Amino acid sequence: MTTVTEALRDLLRLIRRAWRRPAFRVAFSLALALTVLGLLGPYVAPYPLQGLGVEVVSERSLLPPSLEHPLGTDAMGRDILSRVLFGLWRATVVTLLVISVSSALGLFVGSAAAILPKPAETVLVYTMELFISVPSVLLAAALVAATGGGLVPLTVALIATWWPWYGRVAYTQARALRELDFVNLPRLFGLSRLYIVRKHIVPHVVSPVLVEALSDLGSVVIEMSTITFIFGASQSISEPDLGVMVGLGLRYITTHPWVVLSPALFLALLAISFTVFGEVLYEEANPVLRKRWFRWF
Amino acid sequence: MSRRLLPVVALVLVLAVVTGAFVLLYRQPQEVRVVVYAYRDAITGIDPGAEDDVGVVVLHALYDTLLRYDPRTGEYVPWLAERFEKVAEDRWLIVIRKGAVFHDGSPVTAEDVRFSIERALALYEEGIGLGFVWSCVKEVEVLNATHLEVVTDGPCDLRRVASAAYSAFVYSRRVLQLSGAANLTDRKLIEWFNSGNELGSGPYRLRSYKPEREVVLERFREWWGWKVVNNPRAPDVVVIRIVEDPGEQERGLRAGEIHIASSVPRAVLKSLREGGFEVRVADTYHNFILMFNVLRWPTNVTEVRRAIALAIPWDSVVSACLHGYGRVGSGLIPYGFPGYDPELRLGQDLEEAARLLAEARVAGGTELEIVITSGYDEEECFAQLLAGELAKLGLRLRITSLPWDLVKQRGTEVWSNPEAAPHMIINDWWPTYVTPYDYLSLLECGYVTWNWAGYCDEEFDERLWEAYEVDLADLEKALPLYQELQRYIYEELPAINLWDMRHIYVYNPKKVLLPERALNPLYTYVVFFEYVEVLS
Amino acid sequence: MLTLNYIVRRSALSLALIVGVLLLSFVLTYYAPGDPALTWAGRPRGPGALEAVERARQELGLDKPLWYQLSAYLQRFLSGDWGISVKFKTPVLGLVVRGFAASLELVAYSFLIAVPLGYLLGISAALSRGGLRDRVIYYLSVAISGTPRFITAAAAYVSLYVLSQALGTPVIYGRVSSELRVGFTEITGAITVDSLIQGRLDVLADSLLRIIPPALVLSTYPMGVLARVVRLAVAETLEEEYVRQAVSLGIPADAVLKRYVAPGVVPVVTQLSGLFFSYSLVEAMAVEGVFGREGLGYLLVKALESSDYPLIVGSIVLVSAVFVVANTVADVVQAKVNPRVVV
Repeated sequence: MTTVTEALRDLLRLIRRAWRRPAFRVAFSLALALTVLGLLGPYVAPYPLQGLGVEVVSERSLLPPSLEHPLGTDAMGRDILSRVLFGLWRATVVTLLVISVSSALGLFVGSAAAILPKPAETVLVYTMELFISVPSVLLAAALVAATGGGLVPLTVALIATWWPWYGRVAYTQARALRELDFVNLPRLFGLSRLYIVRKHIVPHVVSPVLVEALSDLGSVVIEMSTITFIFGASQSISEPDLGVMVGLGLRYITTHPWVVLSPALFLALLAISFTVFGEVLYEEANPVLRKRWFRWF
Repeated sequence: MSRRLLPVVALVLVLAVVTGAFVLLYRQPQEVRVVVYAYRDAITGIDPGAEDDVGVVVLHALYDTLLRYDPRTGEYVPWLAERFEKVAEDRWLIVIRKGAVFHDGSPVTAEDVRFSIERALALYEEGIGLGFVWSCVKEVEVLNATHLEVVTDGPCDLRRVASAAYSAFVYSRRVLQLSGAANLTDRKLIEWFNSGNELGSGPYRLRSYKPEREVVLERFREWWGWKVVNNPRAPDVVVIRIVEDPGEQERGLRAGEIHIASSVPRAVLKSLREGGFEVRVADTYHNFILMFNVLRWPTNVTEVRRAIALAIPWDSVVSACLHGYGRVGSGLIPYGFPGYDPELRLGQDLEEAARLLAEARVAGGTELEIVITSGYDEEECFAQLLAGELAKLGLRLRITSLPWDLVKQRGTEVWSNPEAAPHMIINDWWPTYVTPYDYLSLLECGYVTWNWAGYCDEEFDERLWEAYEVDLADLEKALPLYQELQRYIYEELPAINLWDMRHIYVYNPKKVLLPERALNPLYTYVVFFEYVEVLS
Repeated sequence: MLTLNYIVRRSALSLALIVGVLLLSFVLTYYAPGDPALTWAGRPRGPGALEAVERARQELGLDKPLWYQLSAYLQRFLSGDWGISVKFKTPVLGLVVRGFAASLELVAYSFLIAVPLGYLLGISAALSRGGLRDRVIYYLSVAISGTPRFITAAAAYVSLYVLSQALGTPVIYGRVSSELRVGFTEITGAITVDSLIQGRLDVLADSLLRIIPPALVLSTYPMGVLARVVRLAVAETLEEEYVRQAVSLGIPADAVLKRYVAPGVVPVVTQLSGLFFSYSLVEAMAVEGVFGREGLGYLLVKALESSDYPLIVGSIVLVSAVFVVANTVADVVQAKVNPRVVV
């Protein structure tokens, strides 16, 4: 699809522009390294069973960092390095999933809203406004209480509350476009709305949405880990999740600080590198910042 | 908004902080002595006749029992009763202390004692509470306002009963009026109690009752016992705060928000000691009994239960999960309690376990579910250990961690829907009073509330009641009967005691003192606040 | 431009959104996976379970036609009956309002810190754009605001703890000291406000002291973003012709900032604040846990442990409704403050 290649080319150009700034270079490299580490995590972890939480070695609990356990062991004797790697995997996969699905969803709904007849448009815009008003953590809690926990309710809740942001961006962009001739003429020719959305609107809207999406990577990481941190107290203790690990490690912070430091450090690095990456990208894409801010925030 | 505003804002902030700090640090010493006790389970109810769970933590401050018993010394201490004597083979005389009054000012009379006993029995008839302790009582005769005689069915040591941890409280019969209850067992009265009301004669009265968060007690100045106890530094206000997470208890303790903590993570005890906190380790009869679901495959097969029991790493369980603060279990009865049998200990034997599983034809990969109580890190540790050992046998263990009231719900499910009830569940148990029957009653058929194994054996029940009848008259004579029962259970293994736990109370000695006599192994998790001394 | 028309339209929209939130909660309640009565009753088991589920079924009116269920539901909610919490056994509305007030208190204080400081930092950075001060502020704000709040909260808590151990001062934990709390009654749920109402200055001082560290931690995100946005906006404004002219005319720096720069930046600040509000509330729930403060986060954890569905749904309704109102207010303020907003 030409839209995808075009969008990617624009993105590449943006990255090249952003590359001039040293902050971006550091952030990008770090983010990339952590993502790769996260995706490979389960395969390189030295004690994969402990990482997953299946194996427990109580006699070796709360050991400080050593050669066998570079980051030490936690309260259940599990190797912290393996746990962190698995947790990193979860964080990266969920973040990427949430961002890609919400941006795709928002893109289509927002663009469609711009071109559909007034009643449908109102309904779609209303739906977007509605989901923006619901706090993700509470929606996640409701879904967890109803279905019994796990990664799926969390991801669904995040997607449900993030997509409207992209919907809004797409909608505002598309709305500006719909007055233009190259959109109206095809309508006069009787081409279906869906076709017009795909062929004429989406390509112009993809770029801003993509940039928004990338700049939100950091926020999603933070939000996801905040939710799991809060929920961590009530969920299963064997799940390898960075937020939960920090929450549980807090118990021993005054006596065995390494238990909390490792997941916290990795989480912070992930969040900061993603945030900087996204922010610089955003700044480069929108040199005239003010007008944009008013439009859709 | 000019930049000159910044220093002004900063100045205001600094002033606020300084004033605040000043106020906090150099405050007048409090005239009101407050003690905050952190306990880990939400209070399940405060009906003195019906409560059978953790509500006792509050009840022993609100109400008096006629006697108190100290298993460490074997002495019965006269409490609400000034005199408690056997006047005939089946007759006991009880004299109530002069000057004992209820929290509304009315005097404690013999009628009230009779009311309390009769209600406990009546409730037990309907399956509520632990009134069975009074089962040897035939009749209660009130002689006058302060004297009463209790007629028993045959020889029976009533002192054991009157000092029980449960269902032996004395409360005013006015509660019937106050709650609008029609009779002794009217549910209205139970609801009245559990919505935050009381009428006891104990050292503290109830100021506010939020069972999920905190219960606040305030000193009852007219309590008869203040002269006896002679503790001028007793707290004026007691806050029993429910803090389920041991880590939070520790933080609250270090922050000075909690003065006495009952469950901190054992791994941080050394650091707490180094930080100047006092760690009081108390022996108790609190044990953790693993109950198997005998109505569901595969734990309905004795060999499978034995196999799982043999898979438990008995040698390391206490050191790993209790950090040494406990003792490995033997039979169902804890160490030091009458009826304890040291011969019923098990050892780990994975080979035998594997053989038994093969014999019972349990397929590899079978999933078993265990329910434990969240926040009980010793149970979490055990479950993880067991999961590891069972994995070696090819079994998968799913660990479900729930708050205590939900654990109870899942436990009783074995009777209504055994296929949905978990295969294993840990029921931590402590005594009602000094009788081995207490622990064995867990396996009585029909004892739905606490028999979470679904175990139903008529012969066992009959023999158990026989033993108890003998026990009522003479504990010594009943011991061999109890021993036989324990051996019987040991063969069937519907339940097994994992460990006897020692309790750890941590407190800040600069703020409060927790003397020995404030704790008593018979009254589990009860802190007798009348003995606690508040220093600052 | 702020017209009556705009206010009316915006209010109508917000009312419609609140109704939408109620409808959403209706869907969550009645169309939850599995048996809605079971979910509403908190998945009880054992004796009394059947009764509890039956009661829930009655309460929800599951055997009645859809329109009846819907209208009964809306009526109940609007009349203040939001159900009884499965865990706490008290009405949900009271619990949620008090929990929300506590979390809101924290968010409010964090805003009080973040907005002026973020603004001032941004201006400070913009004035020395490209210089050392600018870069220090930029990198610091990125590092601190990019870290998840609960991590900075943990770090702050530990540092304060160590400090108080060294100095012998009391540790910052909880919303108010246990001793002071004993004789104190909460009205709104926000202790700093309640103490002021009741004239209890000791409680006020104590609770203020305890709220400042978590509020400071929470403010790092809005402060950081605000600083960077203001920096950019001010930097650009400073490039504008009319500003250069004003400076060349000899108008003092402060006046330039106040008259020419600020008006362009204030709308940005207000708009962003609306955005931060919802984000901060989520983070407040995590920060509360670290500092031992009770609030919505505490309620949520308890609700999840006991599958307390009524409590969770009640929180969704309250918080979403508040967000809708807050966004409306933010938009109205926007329209007033920024003449360029096209409505």
